[in-house]
Formats: sequence, structure tokens, C-alpha cells
Amino acid sequence: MVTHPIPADSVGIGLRGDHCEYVAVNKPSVDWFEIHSENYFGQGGAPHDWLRQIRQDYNLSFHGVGLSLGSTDDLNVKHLERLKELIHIYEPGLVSEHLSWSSIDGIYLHDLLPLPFTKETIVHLASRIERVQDMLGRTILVENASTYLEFSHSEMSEWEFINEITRLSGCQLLLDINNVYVNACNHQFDPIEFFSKISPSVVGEIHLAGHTVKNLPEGTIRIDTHDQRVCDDVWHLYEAVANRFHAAPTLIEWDKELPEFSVLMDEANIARSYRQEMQSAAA
Amino acid sequence: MQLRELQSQFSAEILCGENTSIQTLVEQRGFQAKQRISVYRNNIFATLTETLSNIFPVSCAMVGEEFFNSMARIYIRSHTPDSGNLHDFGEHLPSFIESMPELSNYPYLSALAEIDWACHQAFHSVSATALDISSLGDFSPDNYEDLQFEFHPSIHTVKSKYPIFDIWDFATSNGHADTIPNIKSEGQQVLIHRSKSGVKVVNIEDELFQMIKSLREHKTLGATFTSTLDLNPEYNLKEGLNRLFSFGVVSTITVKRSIVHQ
Repeated sequence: MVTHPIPADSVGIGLRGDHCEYVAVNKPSVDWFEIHSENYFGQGGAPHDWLRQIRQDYNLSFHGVGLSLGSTDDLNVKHLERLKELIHIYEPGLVSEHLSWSSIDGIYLHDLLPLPFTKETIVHLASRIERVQDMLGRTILVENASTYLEFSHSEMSEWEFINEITRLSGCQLLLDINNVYVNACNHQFDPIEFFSKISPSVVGEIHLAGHTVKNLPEGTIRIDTHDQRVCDDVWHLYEAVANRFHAAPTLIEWDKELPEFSVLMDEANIARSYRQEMQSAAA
Repeated sequence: MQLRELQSQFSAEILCGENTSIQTLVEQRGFQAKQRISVYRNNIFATLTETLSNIFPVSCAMVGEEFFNSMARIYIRSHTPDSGNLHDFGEHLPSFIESMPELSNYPYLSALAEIDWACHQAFHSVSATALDISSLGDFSPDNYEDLQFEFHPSIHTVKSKYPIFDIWDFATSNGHADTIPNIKSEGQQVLIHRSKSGVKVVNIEDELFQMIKSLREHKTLGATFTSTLDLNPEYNLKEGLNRLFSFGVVSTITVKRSIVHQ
């Protein structure tokens, strides 16, 4: 089993069920893979057979979508215990979740829902993250979410909110560049300013994904669908911040309308070429 | 508004379409608050509907996607997910289908959905060893009466008063089945399990269904044979047992310990 941490200059690919057999059999040249933790909450069968095989050759990152970190319900300890078991089995290099909520009163809506950027939310979320880190015995990363609305009682900007959460909880940030871009368009702020306010030392991973532009009579809204290639504007932002966040590995995410694996390899190679350009410019 | 109140109202707004005071907290910026919230509602219903159609592909194909999706929307509201793992969603769909008067044209649909759910469970269940019939040779024939079986965790059986295996076979054959099943013909039983080559759905006779049911209740082989013969005195027990082992669903055999009174 590969045990070294995921290297800073590497580019991983989000691994979905339909590609597991291809990856296990063909061992493509990919630095590492990220899986959705909940897809392996089942106890056995093909998902685990493939993942065990893949883990022999690749490092893994566990990306959770169901812990509901921002919820005011009690922390779902059963969920966390299963995650802990999986971490023990597969020894992933990174473990991450989202700066959002998805459940209330025991009902799981299974979406990454928006939080108001208030002191109350910060205190609540930071203590939840601390508890999760204590239970897992490791630092986790939390991802900035795409949002389609903002709350008028928010007391600060998204980056101030993120900085307070990482400072108080000691967690790292999984910086999703596509999500920053989607939010910048949906809520009209400057994404470059956003990135300039995020300390590079807290960024432990970068995500890149494609999104959908929805044109309505009232205007345009961008939706984080993960069903297409990374758009040019997001690549430009990636290029612009590659130097600032050079210490974080990058991941290509694609969840719906899954293409041939070679398309994901192609996206990973584009990311790699931006990284190399940045490195040769620095040399 | 406190975070807890905000989350409760957001959830009510999404699931029940209630106009809650959450709308007054949403920055509009060109869009109505309702429109912004509906992006989330659409995402949530799309995710949960797709989850159900993925877990219940045969039931979905049987009634058609449009009908299935409208049924899913009602189910999502009446049986909201209670787990952070989407794979747990849909457990109650078979009983929900049974309770829906609109589905009286599909009286077998509930059993079909039960098979879909059992296949989904079998796919993710823990792995276990499979014994073949020769394993019985490890025991003295004197103990046969007292043998108890443990089954592969993926195993599930469904019994229906409709020809449910023929219907399943027809629905999964992409139109290659020879004949359209006559739902008035005799009821059938199926066994769902996972073998090395994947999840299987097999047609089993009522007597074998009875044998499996009894053994799964930890009744001894002797008691199981007796109850099976009660059902059909002509049944060939040896052939039934052979068939059971041939599915690779028996994972352990033990001899029932007699309780010794001192």
C-alpha cells in the first residue's frame, strides 16, 4: 500500500463507480484518486473489492458529502464511526467534508445547503469540526460550497467566514476554485480578491470541476453540476492562483454524465500543464 | 434568526413548499427569493429521484420513467431520508407502492420493488464464504437432524401471489423474453443473492422457499425437512438441498447444542 502523503504538485481524479474496473485493470497514470466516502459505507461487494485493489497502487482521498457539518442536529456519530472504520482500512492521505449543512430534525436533504455567515454559525461549525477531528484523530479539510442564495443577516464575507472557521478549528481548506467562481458570478464579487484573502498555509487541496450556466429571464445563475469540463474562466483563475496555492494538490471532479476515463485524464493533464508552466516560470 | 430556526424553515420550504419567513432572509439581487430557493429544491428532488430510479431500475422500467418520477416525488415527501448515506434511501418504497391506490393496475409492483431493493442490498452486503454440499461430509450423519445453517448476508427471498419471477425476467430481458407473463398465472418465489459473478435473482419452488425460511429462522435441518414435507409430502428434499448449496448461499454449518439440564 502506498503510504506517503499526497504530494503538493500532484493532480488527482475523482473516482466514480463506473470507472473503478477500468482503473483497477488498466492502472492509468494518475497521481491519486478521490472517492466519496459514503459510496463505501456498504460493508462489502464489488465497490470494496475494486477499491482494495486500487489502493494497492494509488493513494486515496476521502471526500464526504453526508456528515452535515453545519447542521444544528446532534453530530451523526454513527456516520462518523463508519467513516473512521473506512479511514482505518484504506488509510487515505486526505479526508474532507463541506462547509454546508444537509440535514435538520433527522431529515437528510442530500444537498450542500447554504449557511449564513454569522458569528453564531462560526462558533457552531468550528466546534463541530473540532469534534470530528478529535473523533477521527486527524485534521480534516473543509470545502467552500457553491451557493445560489445569500442570507441578508450574514455579518461578513465568505472569505472572512472561512478564515475564522479554519483559525478556530485548526482544519484545512479544500479550496474549490469552480465554487468560488460560481459564487463570484452568482453573488457578484471579485474572485481574485477572494483568493487574495485566503492564506495559502491553510489550503490543503484544490478542486476543479465543471458547472452549468442557467439563463433565466431575470438573469443568469450558475449551478455546480460537475457534469462537464472545467470552463475557461475557471482554468484562468487556476492559472492565476497556482503560484499562491502551490503547496496544495489538485483534483479533477466529475460526478454526473460521466465521460470516458480518458476525458478525465485529459483534464488532469491540463491542470498539470498549468502547474508545470508556473514552476518553470518560477525557476 | 437563529441557525436552528433557519434550517428548520429552509427544510419546510423545500419539502412542503411552505412560504416561510426564510424568504425574507434571502438576498434577492434580480431573482425572487422563491426562485433562489427553488434551485435547491430542484437539486434535492433531482438527486433523490435519481437515487430511487438507480436503486429500483426494474420497477422504474415497468411503470415508465415519467410515472416513476412522479411517484418518487410523493415518496420523497412522505418518507424523507433519515441517513447521510444515499444508499439507505428507498427501503420503504415497496410498502409505499402497495399502499398507493393509483398503482392498482400494477398489483405485482410492490414485489418487483422488493426484488430491486434486495438486489441493491445484496450488491453492498458484506462478503462471506460459500460452502458446497460436500461440506456436509464434515459432519456425522447422526448429527444431520441437528444441523443449523448460516446464510450469506446478501440473501433475500420474495414470495408473491403473482408470477413474479416471470415478470422480473420479462422486465429485465429488454424485450427478448418469449412471452409476456400472464399475471393471472400461479404465484412464484425468488431468491436474491450475490455470487462471485454478481447479484442473482433465481426462481425457486415454494418448498425451497419454505426450507430457506425455516433455516434462516435457525430451525434445525430435521425440523426444516419436517415442515417442508408438511407442505408437500412428495418433495425431493435431497434435490432441494443440492439446489440450495448450488447457489453458494450457505456460509456456515453448525450442530445445534443440546441444552443439558444438570
